[in-house]
Amino acid sequence: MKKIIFGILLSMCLLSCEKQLSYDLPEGENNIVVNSILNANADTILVNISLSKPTAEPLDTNFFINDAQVDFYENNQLISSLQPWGTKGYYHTNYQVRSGYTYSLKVKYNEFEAQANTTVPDKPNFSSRILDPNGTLIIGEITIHDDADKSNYYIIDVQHNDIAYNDTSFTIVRKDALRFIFADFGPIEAKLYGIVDGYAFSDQIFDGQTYSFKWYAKAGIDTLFVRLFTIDKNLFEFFKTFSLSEIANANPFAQPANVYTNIDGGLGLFASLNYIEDTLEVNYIIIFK
Amino acid sequence: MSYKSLLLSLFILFVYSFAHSQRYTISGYVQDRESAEPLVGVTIVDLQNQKYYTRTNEYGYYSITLPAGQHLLYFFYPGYISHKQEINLTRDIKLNIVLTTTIEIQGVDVVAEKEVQSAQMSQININVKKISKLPMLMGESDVLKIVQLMPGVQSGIEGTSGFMVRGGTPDQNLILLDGVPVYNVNHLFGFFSVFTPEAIKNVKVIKGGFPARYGGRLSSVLDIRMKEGNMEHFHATGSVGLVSSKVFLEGPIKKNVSSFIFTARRTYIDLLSKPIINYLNKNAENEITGGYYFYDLNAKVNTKIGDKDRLYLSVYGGKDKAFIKFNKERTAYLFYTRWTLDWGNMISSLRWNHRFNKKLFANTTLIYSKFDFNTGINMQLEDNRSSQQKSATWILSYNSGIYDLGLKLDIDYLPVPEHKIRFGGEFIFHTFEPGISAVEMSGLEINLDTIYGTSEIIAQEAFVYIEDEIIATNWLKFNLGTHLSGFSVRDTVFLSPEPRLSASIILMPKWSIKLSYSKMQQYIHLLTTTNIGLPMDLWLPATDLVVPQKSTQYALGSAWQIKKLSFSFEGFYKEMDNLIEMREGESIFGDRTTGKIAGEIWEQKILQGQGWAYGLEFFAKKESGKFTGWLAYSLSWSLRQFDSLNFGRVFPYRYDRRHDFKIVSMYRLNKNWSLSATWVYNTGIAITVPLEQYISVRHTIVPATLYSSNYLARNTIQYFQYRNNYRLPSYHRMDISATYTKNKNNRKKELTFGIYNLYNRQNPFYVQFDYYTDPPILYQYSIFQIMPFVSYKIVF
Repeated sequence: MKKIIFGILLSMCLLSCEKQLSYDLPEGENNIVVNSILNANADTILVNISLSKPTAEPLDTNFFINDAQVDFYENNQLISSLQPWGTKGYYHTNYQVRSGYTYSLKVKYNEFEAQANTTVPDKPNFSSRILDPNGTLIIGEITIHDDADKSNYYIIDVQHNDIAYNDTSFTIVRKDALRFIFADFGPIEAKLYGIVDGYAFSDQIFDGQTYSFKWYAKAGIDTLFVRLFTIDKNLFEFFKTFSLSEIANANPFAQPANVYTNIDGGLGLFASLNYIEDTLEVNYIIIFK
Repeated sequence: MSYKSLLLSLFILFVYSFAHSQRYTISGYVQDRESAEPLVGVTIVDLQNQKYYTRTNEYGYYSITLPAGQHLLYFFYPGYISHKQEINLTRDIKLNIVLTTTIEIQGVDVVAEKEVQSAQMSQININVKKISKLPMLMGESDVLKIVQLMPGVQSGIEGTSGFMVRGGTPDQNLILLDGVPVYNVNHLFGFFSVFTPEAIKNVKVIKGGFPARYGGRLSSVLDIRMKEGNMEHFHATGSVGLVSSKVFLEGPIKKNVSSFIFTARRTYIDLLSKPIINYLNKNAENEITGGYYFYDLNAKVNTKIGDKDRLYLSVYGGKDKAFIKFNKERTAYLFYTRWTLDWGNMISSLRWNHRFNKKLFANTTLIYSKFDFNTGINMQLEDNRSSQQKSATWILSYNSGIYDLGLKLDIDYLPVPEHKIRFGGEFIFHTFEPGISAVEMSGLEINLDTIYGTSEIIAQEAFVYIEDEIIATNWLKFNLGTHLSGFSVRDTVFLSPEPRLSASIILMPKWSIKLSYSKMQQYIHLLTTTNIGLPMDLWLPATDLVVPQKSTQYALGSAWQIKKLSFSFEGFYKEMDNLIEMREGESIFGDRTTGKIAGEIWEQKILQGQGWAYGLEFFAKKESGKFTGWLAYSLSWSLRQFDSLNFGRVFPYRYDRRHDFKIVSMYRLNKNWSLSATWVYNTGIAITVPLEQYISVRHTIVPATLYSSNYLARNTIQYFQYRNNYRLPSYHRMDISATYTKNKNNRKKELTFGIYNLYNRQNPFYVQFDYYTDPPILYQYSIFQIMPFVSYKIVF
């Protein structure tokens, strides 16, 4: 009897072990993808056009579109038909967008027709200062004076003086790692979305008020660049959903999240931003003993 | 039908029915001959005028009022020899009946006809005696897995006990054990349920047309009643399975006055694995041990107090426990770690039956239900390097749970045969503990002893109800009622009047059309992402921010009988409001940005929206003869819409299974051997899989000021057209078993063996999308492939 029970247990263990299978995923749809972020501080409009690919296909397939018709409008007036730039799906024109104006993109390529709108936000109204330069971290403060008439969305970014910015070439020129460490955002913390080099948040909690919070940076720095961006709702939704999808996708205990798109007839993002930069010199107090 | 017109109709019919001729009442208890156990749901029919019939209530009591004169009463209960009793009714009579068990089910025709005529629809009574004969995972009989084999009831993922009814979610099922709500019915993450079949007397599933006495959940009621215990003789049953062993004891405390039952079940995975772990640790530098087990204990005593009163005390306790120990012992230091995880229910009820007179029966129940989940890690370090020995301790624990204390009153009033009135109410004092973390550190640079999380949330839930089962004419019967509920939490009060109606239009003695309408409201929510009943899922109250869930269900169907076969066909449409879903990207765990645990910020994690479910169900069953079984098929849709999910578009529910097909067959070969087989098929569940990918704006356009090289690897976006856009392969499986029974020297021995997943179908247990391969791949993990099982039971 013992042998029988042992045999059954053994066979159960052998037969019930985990088995892994992979599925052949069906082909997804092909959509036109339009990506562009208008920067009120730059004089170049750059748009990227590509096609989406089924998930089951490798990403090395060439999917940029270099012969689409890309029209750029300001308050419904055609400004320019953008010209291809290089072979990676870029189109560009020289133009400086203005705060409060609504811009549209209309893209045609074969059977695809896509369009999207964005309104460039006003420059932010803020002040910044260093509270304590002598600790293990530099402590600073930002005070935002929020406009009461509308919903505003912000990004805060504190950078190191080694970093060089180049808004017009859109190339990555920053050489050093992020110096912004963390911030004590107070009541708005639940609404923060960690993004590339800063935090995006809305004025939902401090609409129309003056709001201050502290930031902390690594010690030993001479100059800090504090940038406060105002971004349109499209860009905020993009950062928010992208951040969520990073956390959630592939996590069996979380709901999957799609990334926001505002392209009518396609995918991607057409958004805008504005910013002001404040330069802070760190004046260390040396105490001789 | 409006609420006022329902009450008016009830009143008119009630008054009308009293204007009748001289009548007398026959009342009493129906019980098992061998055990004196009260039998629930025994059908009693006056064969001379089949318009009049009734059923025993949850305590085996019945009452039927008939015109004076000659009558032939017929008592029927599946699995028992039917009993006929001639009565010349000239006065009120007390008539207790005992029924004897039989292998062959008889007299099914008359009773099936009554089921056809009954106003109640969407209800299934499960014959518990047959459960042990059906093939089950690892040979463990399980009530919930039988429930999953019914039409309109869908199982969750492979092997688990969770179930969804008519497009609802698992938390929308009111699961009652002796009238007490059970919050977590799962052992071993859902592979086994907490109900020990040997202790169960009766199981009833209601999917729609809810009688007014039930409320508090949107989708179903699963009413499980435990045995009372043999009043005549002592019996013991012992069984040994691959995973667990069970013992069941019952007997009289005082013959024919009081009795008890006791069951205990424990798994021995931990005991079996211990020698293997010891062997593996034999030459290891560090000692690692671990284990897992669960146990259930049921105890119940009852006693008659005179002729009119009876007291019942039932207690259930069950626990799952898992632990891992890690010991690292070196000359310089010693490091001990112990991680523990446990969860379980404690349920208790004290019931008092009182028969005021032959027409009025009351049941008062004091209930207690507790579910708690605890996990913790305890680390100790002893540093022997310095001359002065140092030690440090770091303890982290997390607890969550729900506790109910309640009082319930149910009164049955049977004034005339045309009316069976029930009324009563319940008050429940809920205590929610959504999650508390405790940290204790000593001997380190920082000494800390603190608690994080939300303290208890207190809520009160109450309802009153009245319902009347009315025989209006020979061709029209209905159950009309209303359930008025209220819920108070923090400074918010919710109220909900919920009208209920079910009716039967009898076209022919064996053919009826049925319809029902019910409105339900649910005041507690389950915070979950998996819907499989993980113990860390949180039960939480409705609040002003997360309001109660509501549903309205309409059903229309027909029931008919052809010889020994009973058929039913039902269509339903259910609207659900204020359903909850986690926000996109949210998990059941805390928030990593703020460091807050889920219990503190759960209201921010939830979205509320609406849902619809509709479909058709077909059920055919044969309950008598050597060959018995049933066939169940459902064609259904279950959809959801949330303003802030899926960009506001409608999407299918995860368990939106278009086709759901089950066949259960049992064949009694001879007095020793019986065979059984089940086959289930259902459409694969819907999951969210990105079928499209595109390049991110961050990769192409984002100004350098916003761009970080850290994210270069994540330059594509995976896109899914809508939530739950991909169907997993269909689920199907066949199980078979054979049972050998031998009776000798007053002992019954039963050997059951069989095969789970006979043709080795690789059904998905868990599916994962690997984003980090190029192209990404969707993996399926299957754990229950072809699996033999055996169990042995001895009854004496």
